[in-house]
Order: sequence, then C-alpha cells, then structure tokens
Amino acid sequence: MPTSADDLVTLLARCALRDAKALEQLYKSTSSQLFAVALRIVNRRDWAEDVVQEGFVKIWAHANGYRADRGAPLTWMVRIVRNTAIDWLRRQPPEVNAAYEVDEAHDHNAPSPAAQLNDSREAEQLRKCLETLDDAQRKALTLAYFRGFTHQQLATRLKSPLGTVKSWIRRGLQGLKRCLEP
Amino acid sequence: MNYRNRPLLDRLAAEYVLGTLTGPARRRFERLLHELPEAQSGVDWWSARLDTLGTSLPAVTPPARVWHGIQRRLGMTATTLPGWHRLWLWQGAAALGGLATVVLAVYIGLLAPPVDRLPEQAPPGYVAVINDEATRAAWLLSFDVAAQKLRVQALAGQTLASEKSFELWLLPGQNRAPQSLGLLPANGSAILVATGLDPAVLEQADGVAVSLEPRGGSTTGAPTGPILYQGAIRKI
Repeated sequence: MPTSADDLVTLLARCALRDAKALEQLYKSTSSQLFAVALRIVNRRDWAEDVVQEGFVKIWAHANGYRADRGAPLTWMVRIVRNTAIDWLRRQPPEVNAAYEVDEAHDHNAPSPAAQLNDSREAEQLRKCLETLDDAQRKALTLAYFRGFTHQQLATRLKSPLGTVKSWIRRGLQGLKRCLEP
Repeated sequence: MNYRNRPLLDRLAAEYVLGTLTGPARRRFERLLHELPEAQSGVDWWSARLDTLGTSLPAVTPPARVWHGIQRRLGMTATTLPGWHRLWLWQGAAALGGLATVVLAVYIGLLAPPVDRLPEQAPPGYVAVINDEATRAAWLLSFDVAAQKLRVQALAGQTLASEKSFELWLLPGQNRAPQSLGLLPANGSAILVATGLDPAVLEQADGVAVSLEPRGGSTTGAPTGPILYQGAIRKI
C-alpha cells in the first residue's frame, strides 16, 4: 500500500523511539525504492541486498537525526542508501568500477509510484531540466551521482581532460540551477 | 575563499550533494554547514532535487532475506537475546558517568518520604534520568506506581519555543508502540497523572523518550516531532 510522506515522517519518529513495528512498516513502504537505488549504484543484486541492509541499520540508528523541515523523508533515506552504496563501491577493487557501463536508458524511465507520492514535482522538474543539458554534462552528472565518481575518476572514465570534466560538472549544475529556479 | 559569495556557496553545496566536492574542500564545507545557515539550506535545496534521481527509479522488490537480515542485525528476532534494546539503553545509561548517579541519589533522597513513614510493604519505586545532548541530566522522573503518578523535575532549564511542547513517552518494549505519559515542564517540577504504570510494564520497558511536539502535545497518539532525548528506567 502506498504511504504518504507524512506517514513516513511519523514512522521515522517512531523508529527514533525504538519502535520496531514502525521500522517494519517503513521497510515495507520504502525498501523497493531503496533497493532500486542500491542496485543502480552497485550493479549487483547480492551487493545491493547487503547495501539495503546496511542502509536500514543506519536509518534505524539515525532516525532521530531526521528533520522534516529540511527535506522529504524518502529523499533522506535515499541519501543514506546512496552514500552506503558508494562507500561499498569504494571498498571494491578498481576493476569493478572500470567495468561499469553507463546505461543512459536508465535515466529516462517513468517515475515510480513512490516518487509520485513523495516528490513528483521535483522529480519531474529535474528530469525535464536534465534534458536541457548537453549530453556530456548530463553524462558526467549522472555518473557522479550514481557512481560517486570524483572529478579525476570521471576524467579517466570519460577519457577527457580533468579541466573539461570539471567544467561539464560546473556548467551542468549551473544549467540545472537556472532551469530549476527560473 | 569568500564563503559569503552566494553563487560560490551554491556551487559548493551542489557539488557536495553530487559528491564531486572531495578532500580538504569537502571537510571545510562540512565545517561551514554548522556555521552558515545558507550553506545548509543550499545543501537541502540541492538534495531535494538531485536525490529525486534515486526516488524516481522504477522500484525493485528485494528478497525477504534482506528484511530478515536487518532484523537479525538489530536484534529484533526471537532468536536473539530478549531485552537487547534494554541492554543498549542500559549501556547508554551506564555511560552517563558518576555525576548523574550522584544527582539521582540526592534527588531520590529529597523526594522519598522519610523512612519511618514508609509502609511495611512498600511497592518498588522506579526512576529515570533523561539526558540532553551534552549528556547532562535534563529531567529526573520518579514513578509512583501506587498513586499512578509521575513526579518530574527539570534539572537544567530547557529552551522551548512558545508554540512547542516537550512530550514524554514510555517505550513499552517488545515491539509495542510508544505510550504518551504527558507533557514535560521546561523548568521546575510537575506531577503527571498516568495510567497503566505497573511494575511489570516498567520493568519490561525499553525506557522513556522526549519528543518535540506542537504546543499541547501530539494529537495523533504517536510522536510526530523529532526525538530529542532518551533515558533508561531503573528500579530502586
């Protein structure tokens, strides 16, 4: 059953009070979205399973740090799982990252039901604004977001000079800012 | 670098969220987040947008073993030792150090009736110390099971916005939802009237917690605001 952002805020508050039932409900409502994020980043199901587990342990531990006035609950949870997944990748040998193929098709999927409930306006806006960027800027931003690549890693991966990659990122973000905040 | 420069600050916030701000620059920016509200609001703004890249991916259901693994890691399954959370809270309480224990002892001494007036078969008493973020004792609670009352003493004055209240919750343990015990005074002392305060409930409880609620307390029966503090219940 879909859960509203307000319900997720309440569930997080109850998790902060060590209410295990609330964690179970939170898991039921968000795990498929968070699993998708982990899977997209680490690109292996068994790793993604471990990342989601680690992510929920952190969500439970840090639930009292969530502030509703600073962002949507699902966004906060995505951030935790994304950071966990990126840390996971950084612990892997370099060959793993080198073998990662950029699949642009991923970036143009229809929004998920969870996104529609929680932040459809921002998601839709971002999708449209990404379309307005150059291919190179969009690719650099997407790789940085979903792979946790540094400027230097992006330069190696995209076979381009460091300065060029930095400028793609900077201009891409400026372009997004202009588009998102007209 | 001039951090008051808004476009620069915004670019740093964007690259911080994206992850391309690394090394010393990232650490400097993290320090700035605590000092400059504009830096934090920049991060919140970018996170609300960039992290929709994650929230808009098509959902993929993980296998059931993932949830079982989480339960196992958090000690929530029947196969682990009961009272795991209580142990965790007790360890937290133990970490308080001597000061709170001394204060607690003095407090109990002050609150308890003189020994000669105690009935022969006094019911056990229960107390709790709630610490603030600097692990100073902020409130002392004394549960009067016989009278179904709870005496509360605010030790350090707490700052509270006029439209907010501190609400006290009993964490019953065993995966049960928190139960409101009433509103805590920011200063001074109060007596809260509660129901269901029996020794079995208090002994099984994982402790108490304080949440920040709209003035007058949560209207939903469950905490709605951030959880500020927690404390363990001790039998005396």
